Amino acid sequence: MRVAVRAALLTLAASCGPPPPPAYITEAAGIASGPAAEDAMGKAPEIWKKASDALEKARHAFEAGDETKALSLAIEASILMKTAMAVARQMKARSRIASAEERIAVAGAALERFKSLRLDSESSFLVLQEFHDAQKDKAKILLASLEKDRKHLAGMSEKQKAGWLEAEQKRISRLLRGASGTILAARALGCDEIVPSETEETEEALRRAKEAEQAEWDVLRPLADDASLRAERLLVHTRTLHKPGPLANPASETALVERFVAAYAKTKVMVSATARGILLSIRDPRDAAGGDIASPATKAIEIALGAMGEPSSATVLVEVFVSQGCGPDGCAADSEEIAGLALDALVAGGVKASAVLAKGWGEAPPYEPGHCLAAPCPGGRLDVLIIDL
Amino acid sequence: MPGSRTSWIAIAAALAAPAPGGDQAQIIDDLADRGLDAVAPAEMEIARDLLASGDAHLVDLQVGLLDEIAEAHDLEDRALEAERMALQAENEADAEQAAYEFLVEQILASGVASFWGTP
Repeated sequence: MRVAVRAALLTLAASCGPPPPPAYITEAAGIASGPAAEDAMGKAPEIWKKASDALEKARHAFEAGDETKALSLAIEASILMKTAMAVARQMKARSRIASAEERIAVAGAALERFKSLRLDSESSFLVLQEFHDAQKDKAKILLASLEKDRKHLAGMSEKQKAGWLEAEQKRISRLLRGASGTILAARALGCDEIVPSETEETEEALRRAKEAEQAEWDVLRPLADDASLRAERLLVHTRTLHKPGPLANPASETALVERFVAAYAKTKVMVSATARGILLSIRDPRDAAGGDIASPATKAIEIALGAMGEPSSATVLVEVFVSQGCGPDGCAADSEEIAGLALDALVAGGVKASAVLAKGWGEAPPYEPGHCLAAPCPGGRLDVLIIDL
Repeated sequence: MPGSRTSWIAIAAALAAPAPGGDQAQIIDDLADRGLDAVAPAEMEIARDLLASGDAHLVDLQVGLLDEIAEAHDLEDRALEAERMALQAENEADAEQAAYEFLVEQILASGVASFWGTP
């Protein structure tokens, strides 16, 4: 009996509650709780708010017994929620497009970078291969020449031998200065950082050769040849392996060399294209008193700066050779002083201080084309070597 | 479920006043010309039912929805195309990188240089 009463009461209570919402409201509410709803709420909050309000009003209209209004509002809510979802889809698609466009830009840049690296590497590889082949040939020729000279020397009289040895010593000494100058040029281009172990090995080879300068000619000569070949290789490797992009020798650009030749047309400056760069050989760099740079030399440096176009992109080596009329501190100090003044003039003209090296050779004769090569000249020589431009 | 939603629209149509003017009908025809019958067939059906119902406000809302769906569809197509192009560009860049790395291997194997700058 108690159970029956209880069941009857429960039935009564249930029948007194609010009527269940109709399908059009539950379905509209279902859209609001679907998987895309959260995204739409976040991406189109204003539309979503209107939809929620319409759904709420639909519920109220239904509860108030206005089914027509409730149906219309539920449809409105449903349309607005789907509109918010479509707007959210648009935003997601726009974001995918932006992300894809960024990927295209990144991939495009990588493609261009690797293409350029590959083309640069291909041409550098060919340059290196050609250079190495030429060096191998040169090494063979030098070796054959050593053998030939050895035999030749054996057939000479003592007087002839003494003369030949003196000339050979001068030639080797010049060869070693050339190797030093080539290492200096490589240093100006940053060989210490680009090929550090090769730089060390090359300097070691040069040191070995210099230490053997008093040894028998046929002991010294292969060492000097080795140092010279290594120095050439160091410079080529430094140029080729320089990053980003290899550094071409400006002397290999005919138009550039011609520009310098034209700039110095009415002067005594000699312009040469060498394996190290464009060499400007300037006579008599000291003024009458000997303590300062002569004004024609200063003028020659100004012309060089003008012909460079953009001095800030140049790498320059200054070398000074002074063998006569030196001051109390000697020719080495005088040549260092003039080299330092020339360096200052170049820097004042726009060449970066980090891109200039200066060397005073003192009484040592020059080793590259230009003035004072055949015989010492009283006023000395200043070389401005443009290694990179 | 689209079927049941369409059925409310039919109820609404039965309850509503006569159909609105020809402008909205033209707009729905234009949407059909834009291919919306294939892109969102259920929503187009609802639009036609609403047009028949004569509730201009709901028709406007539904047309707005269809416009947004069309825009979303276009953008999703463009996103797919952009992603396809991105993949292609990445493949090309990968291939170029592989070609460069192969060249570097060859250079090192040749012995002309003991190292080669790799980015």
